[in-house]
Amino acid sequence: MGYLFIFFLRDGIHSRRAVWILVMGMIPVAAALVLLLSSRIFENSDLNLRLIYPQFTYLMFLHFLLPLAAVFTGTAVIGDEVEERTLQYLITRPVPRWSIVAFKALAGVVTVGAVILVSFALTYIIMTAGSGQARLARGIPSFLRSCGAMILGLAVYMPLFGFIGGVLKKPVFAGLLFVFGWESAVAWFPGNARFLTVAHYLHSLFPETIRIDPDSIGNSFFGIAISANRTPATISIAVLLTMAALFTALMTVLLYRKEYRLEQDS
Amino acid sequence: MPIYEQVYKSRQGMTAATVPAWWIIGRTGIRLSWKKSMVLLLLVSSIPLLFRAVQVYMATKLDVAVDLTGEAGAPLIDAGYFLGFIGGQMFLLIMAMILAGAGLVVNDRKFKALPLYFSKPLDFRDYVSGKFMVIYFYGSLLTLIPSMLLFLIMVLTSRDLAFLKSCYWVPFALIIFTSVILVTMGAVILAVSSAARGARSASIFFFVAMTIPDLFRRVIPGVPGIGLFSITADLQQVGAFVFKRELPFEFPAYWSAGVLAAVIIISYVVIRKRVKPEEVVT
Amino acid sequence: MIRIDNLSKWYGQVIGVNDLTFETEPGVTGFLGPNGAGKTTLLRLLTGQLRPSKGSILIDGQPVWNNHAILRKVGYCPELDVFWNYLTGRKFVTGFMRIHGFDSEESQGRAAKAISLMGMEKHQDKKIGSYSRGMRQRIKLAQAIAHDPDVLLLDEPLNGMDPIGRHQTMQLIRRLGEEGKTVIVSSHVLHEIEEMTDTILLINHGSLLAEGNIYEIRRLIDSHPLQVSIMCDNVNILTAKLLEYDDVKSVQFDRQSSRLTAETVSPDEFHMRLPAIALDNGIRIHSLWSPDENLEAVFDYLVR
Repeated sequence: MGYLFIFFLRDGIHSRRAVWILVMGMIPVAAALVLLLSSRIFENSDLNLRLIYPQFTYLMFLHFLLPLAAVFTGTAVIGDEVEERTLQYLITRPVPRWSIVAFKALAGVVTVGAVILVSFALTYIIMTAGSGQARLARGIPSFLRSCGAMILGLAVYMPLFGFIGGVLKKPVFAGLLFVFGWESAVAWFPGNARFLTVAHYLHSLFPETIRIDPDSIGNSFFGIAISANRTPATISIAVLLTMAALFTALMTVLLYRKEYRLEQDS
Repeated sequence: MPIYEQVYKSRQGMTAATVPAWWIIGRTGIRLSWKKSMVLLLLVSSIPLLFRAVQVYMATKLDVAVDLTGEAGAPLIDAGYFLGFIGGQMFLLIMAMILAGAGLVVNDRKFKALPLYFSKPLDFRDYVSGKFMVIYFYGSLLTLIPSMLLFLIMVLTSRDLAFLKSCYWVPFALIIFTSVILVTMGAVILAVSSAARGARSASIFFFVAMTIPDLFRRVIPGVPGIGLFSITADLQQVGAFVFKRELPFEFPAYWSAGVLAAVIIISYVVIRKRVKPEEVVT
Repeated sequence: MIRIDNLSKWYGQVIGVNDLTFETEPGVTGFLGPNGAGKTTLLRLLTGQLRPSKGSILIDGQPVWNNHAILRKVGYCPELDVFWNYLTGRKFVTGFMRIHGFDSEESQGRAAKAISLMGMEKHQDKKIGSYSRGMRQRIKLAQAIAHDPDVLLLDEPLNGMDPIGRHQTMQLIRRLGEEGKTVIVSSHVLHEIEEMTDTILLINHGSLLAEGNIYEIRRLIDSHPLQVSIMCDNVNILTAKLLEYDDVKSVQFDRQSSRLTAETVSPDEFHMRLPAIALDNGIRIHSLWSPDENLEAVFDYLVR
């Protein structure tokens, strides 16, 4: 059964999606390089890398790369096999159905996680290198905590979008609407609605969040409001882990209960 | 006796059709994409319209109140209000484009329907125009039609003709600006739909194309001209020019228009390259 | 080995399989029916891909739906021409063996054997994306047989194969049946099934039309007399003699080609008496055959 993980990992690496995730992963690196060069070329007080860094990583990683890569990969966990009609090879093997989706989602977390972490590390180096080695080293605990938050985010988003991909016919649309519509909008609602988002708990764990001026982000669909009320880290981790377990369970139950029809079935 | 190859061939002959082919393609496309999710999206998009309609109504009443108290200030509703409304619809518009447009060409390629299309009396222009009609229809439902409605409400509820006299040109500006938005976004979604392997990838690529340059603009402040690379920023710039507002970016509006024109041309080239009458898709 | 009781499958208002009951034993059984008859649905039900709306499916006494363990005994060759195109043929088959739980070495050995059986050794290290349709069909069959299953479910396995490939595959399927495997082959091509087996299940509109031996089924169709064609000397004399019997409903003859075609409702009696008639009247019979005792005719009569 463990071979399924290797099978899906290989499948993920060979897919075109992997290339696009890699390209997407390099966007923050490219942006960081542009920023670095610009800070050297232009005499502009707005181009202070140290001040830009929190907002940069927050927007680029937590609110762009992480959810978008998760939507792209997560909706493909079941959706791809159904769309490409290769699911019939997999579910006619003597392996439990939960293992098919669980290992595919895990392979997705590993590949996307690797791209995000490498991209994050390169960005971190580019943006803090100029500040000296001491500063680079001082930022490492915060860097590691950010990495942990993002991996946890992937562990929640991947099965969530995997589930959406198995249920809905337009999963990418639903996924984008969830991340850039619901999660953005709810944060502006008064009261406790923010607890119904994944983003809120990720904000609470992401160390850079507290250093961002909410007004600087603006009210666009990337401008997710940052709540002043952060949930304690332990509770956030517990909630995120529960969500990850719940969505994984939903995704696996779905494959047990739902039968996937082909166009030829009528 | 010869044996003939059994393939679909492009039709070369003349036709006396009464309805243009693009109209049929467009109508069918609209019918096919008129699904629950699209209706839901349109319903969601009507919330801002309702909100704004109430605002417009209240503004006209306030106008009366201002007149009574003798205090005067800047008009509450002006051309910029309609520009703001369209700007606020941008996210929903991107979503509608994904819902209606992502699968438009890629599904025809995937299910090998292109040779079937081009075996009928239609050409590339008919095909693309028909597909574009689908996008324009849904795009208009989110931008042009509600903004025109708002304008109408404002005119009808105003107590005099002052608003109409000062903003008579707004409907034309609305038509021009929404056309610029829909032609640009329509070209991009059709291009990604032609280039992608599946509707899912097309959706992601379109979303990335629309958002990444804008994200760059936000995370790299202070770099001159960075907004020029963002389609949404260029649309804002052109919109401000059309609605005679202050330009939000430091570069001239015609530069943004040039970038948008380039985007449309590149998209056209991609569509032209990918939509071919005869092809084998494996 | 396979037992199906009152099996029905609905897709909303549409019926895919309608109240099927049958049992198959080791050997080759042909699922025969026109396109859309319900053959693929039945095979997908048999492999646990679809849940029965009503009734039951047992393989080796165990239900199939949500019972992955039973799939160890099943090999399935789907009809659809879909693959992970970046894989080589060898990796495709080996990968599935690994998923079946075999270790790396055994998986490779099994894959090599299956690939060799399907005559794909030369192409096994090429990517499947570069294969011809026939080669893709062969590699699909290789993954179905590599784990040596007791039950083989093959959905239109000969689609897209060249004549040599078809012949070799048909031989292989026959041999697997002779070795005691339960092989179910679906096809809408009558002569393909006819070459592989005499035991058939005729399906149309999701219902079972007939099951059993093709010749027995033919005999049971009373409403259509059996046609017997004879090439002989003195065609007109034989025609006259045959018409003396009540079971002979009609005779058409062509003196120029020395051929007659009789229609009889008692084929056994007809065949018993024919040598005596020929002997008594000095008629030399050159050849004798039944043009409507083949599967095509049986199928035609049953679905008409």
